[in-house]
Amino acid sequence: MASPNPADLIPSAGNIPLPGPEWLFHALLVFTFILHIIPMNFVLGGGVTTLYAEIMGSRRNDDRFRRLARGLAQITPYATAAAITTGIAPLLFVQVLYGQYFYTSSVLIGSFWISVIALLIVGYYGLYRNSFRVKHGKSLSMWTAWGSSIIFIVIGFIYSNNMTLMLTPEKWRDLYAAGGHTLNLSEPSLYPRYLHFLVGSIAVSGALVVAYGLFAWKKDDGYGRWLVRAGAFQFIAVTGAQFIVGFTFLFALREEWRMIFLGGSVYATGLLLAGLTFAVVSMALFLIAALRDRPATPAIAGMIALALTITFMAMMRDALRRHALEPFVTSFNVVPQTVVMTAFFVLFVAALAIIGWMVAIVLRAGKSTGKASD
Amino acid sequence: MNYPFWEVPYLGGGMLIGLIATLHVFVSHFAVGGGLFLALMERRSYRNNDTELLSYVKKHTNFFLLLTVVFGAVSGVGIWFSIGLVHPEATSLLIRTFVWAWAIEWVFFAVEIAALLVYYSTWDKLAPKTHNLVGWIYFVSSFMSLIVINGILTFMLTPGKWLETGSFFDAFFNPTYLPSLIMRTSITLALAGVYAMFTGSFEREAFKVRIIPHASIWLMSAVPLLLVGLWWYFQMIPPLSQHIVKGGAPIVQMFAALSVFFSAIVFPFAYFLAYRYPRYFSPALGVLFLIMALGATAVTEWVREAVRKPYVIYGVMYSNAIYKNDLARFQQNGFLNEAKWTTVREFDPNDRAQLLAAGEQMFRGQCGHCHTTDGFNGVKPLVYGWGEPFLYEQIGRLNELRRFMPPFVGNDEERRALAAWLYELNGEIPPLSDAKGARDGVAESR
Repeated sequence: MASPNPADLIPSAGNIPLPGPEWLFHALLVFTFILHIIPMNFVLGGGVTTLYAEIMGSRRNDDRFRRLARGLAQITPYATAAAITTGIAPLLFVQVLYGQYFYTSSVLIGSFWISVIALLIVGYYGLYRNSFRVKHGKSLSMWTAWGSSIIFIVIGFIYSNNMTLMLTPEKWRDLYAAGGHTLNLSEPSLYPRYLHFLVGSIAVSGALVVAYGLFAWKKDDGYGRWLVRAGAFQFIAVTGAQFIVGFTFLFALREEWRMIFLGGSVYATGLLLAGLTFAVVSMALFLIAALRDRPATPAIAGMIALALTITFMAMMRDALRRHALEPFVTSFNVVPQTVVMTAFFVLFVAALAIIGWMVAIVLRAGKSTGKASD
Repeated sequence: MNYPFWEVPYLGGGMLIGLIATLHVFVSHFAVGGGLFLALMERRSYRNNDTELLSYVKKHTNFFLLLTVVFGAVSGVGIWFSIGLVHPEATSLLIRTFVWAWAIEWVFFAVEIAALLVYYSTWDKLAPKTHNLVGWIYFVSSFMSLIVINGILTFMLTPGKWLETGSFFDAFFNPTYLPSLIMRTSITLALAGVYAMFTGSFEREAFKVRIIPHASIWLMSAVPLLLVGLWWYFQMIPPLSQHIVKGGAPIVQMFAALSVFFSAIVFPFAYFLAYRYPRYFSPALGVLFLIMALGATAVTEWVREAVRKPYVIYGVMYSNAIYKNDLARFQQNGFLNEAKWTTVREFDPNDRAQLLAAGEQMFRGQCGHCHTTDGFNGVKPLVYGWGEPFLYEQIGRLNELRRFMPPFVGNDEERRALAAWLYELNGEIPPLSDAKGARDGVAESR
């Protein structure tokens, strides 16, 4: 810490070789992050939407809102399981590629970082508590719903802190002096970045409500129609706001980072344009779905466009990280573990098949019994 | 100090990992054995058309889900968080070596979670055979995840031929892989029994007298397997680790004895309290068994960690994150000179303030991974009454003084700095023989 160059603080990554090609780990990191961010949005935004629906339900004395809140309360524990499970993989691959940055930033916010575990357990149990209450015909506990939502909002903030801090070694020296009991609050891009995720998750939860509406349609078309509209308008309104938040984030980035998205790099600029385009396309498709009597086709097309937007945004996030760490990275000594690597891919495909089969039997069972899920 | 040091006040980083890991092991092993229990019991209830048993299995599933999917899964991530914070250097080595094994474990874990959620939410919705099949998918994938993680865990104590070859398979199928797998498998069965005894204790008497003896058989039959695994494991660990268990470190010896004692004593307890007299098996007894099992888990995991000293990865990296290979370089160039994360690099040893500041950095880099100052394994009481020259002498012979401690690494000035800093923790204290002085000393320190 006595030397002035931030690069001097970056730990050496040791001499253990990388057990596979670097590009492959990059691809897996981005791919599994996309798998994670979607259910993560359902947890974070779904919790907020549950609260909103419950509050609207009692304010307007509108049972449709209450039904929506109860339905979401039963979905969110499953979404949490999915978010945690899919979150493990990007956490693994980020450590493979960027361990020396990631561990350092984690240590620097250590007490907050470890608190994520305790918070997650409490917030997760809160979701289950409300899910069980719904199952037994009781009303939601607002206290618990608020608690869980706030907890997930806080966890997201701690994550944003770590993910920004790992990119900025020049901040490390000062934070170390504070001894692991502080966050990366002096980072100007932290707040819009975090807001970008938070707002995005509420928008994506609108799409979840639309999907829920498509399922409910078969049993109760009036309710299904209402859900599709409510979800679509939530998506459109919040995504509209997201344009403002997103550009604020872009301009909060330091100039040499921002410029890669504004012509500095054809790849990064292309990602931004593609992401924006598909966002607009998904808004239009959800609008059509809201206005139509048979919304399934435009709604599903809208979800595909949304998934593409999320994919491009995740790739932008990766491009930003690569660019930020470019001055510091050293090349990897690669010694592939071909057999284990192949085993992973074979097992991964087999697992997808098994999980797909299980989902299929659940859907088929749901159809044949015709039981309402709420 | 390649990485910044994360200080955990009073507890110490190692203890924090230990606490999280113990609770995780206690639940995650149940998640494996309990899966087998569920799948088998469900099958039995269908075969015998036993609705009473089926209704118990359903209730047990709710308990199982809430405990394993939430606490079990998140505490597993918690171990990962905590080792990354306390031992980034070792975690980095493990991740690089085993990333594909971890990725495979993740695949099994994903199937495991998906299967359990389907299993839990589709009672009465799926055909019995299909539902039972989902239960088997759950058990097989959870057992596979144990098979994978076992290779990574055992590697740390016995890296075996990997030290020469650097090959993945030598690292994974290391000398303690099989004995440890036997031990862990037996623990999964034992815990399946213990938890089933707990949920069974809430049942009506007519059913209790059926389920409690059955559950106790799971526990009792696991005990011989566990003892065989323990014995074999002990044969395969490094000589120094054996020495530590045999009394090289009395506390470890005691804990190891407790581990065997808990494991053995549970057998007669289970036989008399559960197998013979199930009618009187109350929830309080169920809790007692849970506590005994948690105690056994805690001491066993603690011993498993303790015998790895002075290394975190045996023969490669010391408990304080220093690579064995770097020893000579640090000795020659000075530890602080080579450190990235230190506030002091060069200092004037004749300036007391500078010496103490350097000493504190030395403590962080070389002692802080295992020792706190005032809390668990705190150095302040450990060096109470040691004079500065004596400290200086002992620091140079740490690995002789206590074989399970890493050697001191650094130049002579750094050794003096650490001695000075350790001395100042207690400052001057009255001699032991003077009773009055001792009392005054207490008064003074207030």
